Amino acid sequence: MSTEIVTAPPAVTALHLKNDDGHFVGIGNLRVVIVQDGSSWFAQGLEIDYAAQGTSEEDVRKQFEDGLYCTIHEHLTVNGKITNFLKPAPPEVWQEMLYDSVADVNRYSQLSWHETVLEKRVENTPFQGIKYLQQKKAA
Amino acid sequence: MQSEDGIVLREFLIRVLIENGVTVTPHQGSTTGHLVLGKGDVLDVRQIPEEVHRRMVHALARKFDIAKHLFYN
Repeated sequence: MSTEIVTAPPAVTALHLKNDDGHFVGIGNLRVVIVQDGSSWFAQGLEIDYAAQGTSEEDVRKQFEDGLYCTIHEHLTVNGKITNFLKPAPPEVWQEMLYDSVADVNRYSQLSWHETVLEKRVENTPFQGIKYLQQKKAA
Repeated sequence: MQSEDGIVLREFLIRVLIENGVTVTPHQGSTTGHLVLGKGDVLDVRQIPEEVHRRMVHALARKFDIAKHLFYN
């Protein structure tokens, strides 16, 4: 007899609080698929449709995080809210980036995740809640 | 301005974006060269490298509702 423990994946959370001093925005458990694209690296958010290109694994993460921060900041500046930005990637992107690959060769795995809350950009890397799913290297 | 490996040069990519209704402006206060891309309700801030690879080109084409082939012709 075997026991299998199945845990539901943590839900993606987005939080936006506003007061006189500014905006608090939190993004939690966002999944980002990273794949190599020729000599570059490509990162695609799943629950939030944002993508970035980088020169290395490290660089594409930085590009994603910096771009995500700037995009949220721009939405707050222009719209005063981020609801327009909180849209998932369309199903065909999920299919292309995740399901097909996993089904075929189980190429993607979870690397890390953590919660994020940011107000103003006081640190170099405000996002600490991004879960990266990365293509496994061939054996 | 195209390549068989799907790479599109920055200048050409920006030109196609603009020709298809995307506004491209420097991000306010950015010292890292981030650009604001906007069309309708879609607002996107990013750096655009000198060479944009196929997946990124396709992602931008999809997001701003531009036919992919326009980036390769």
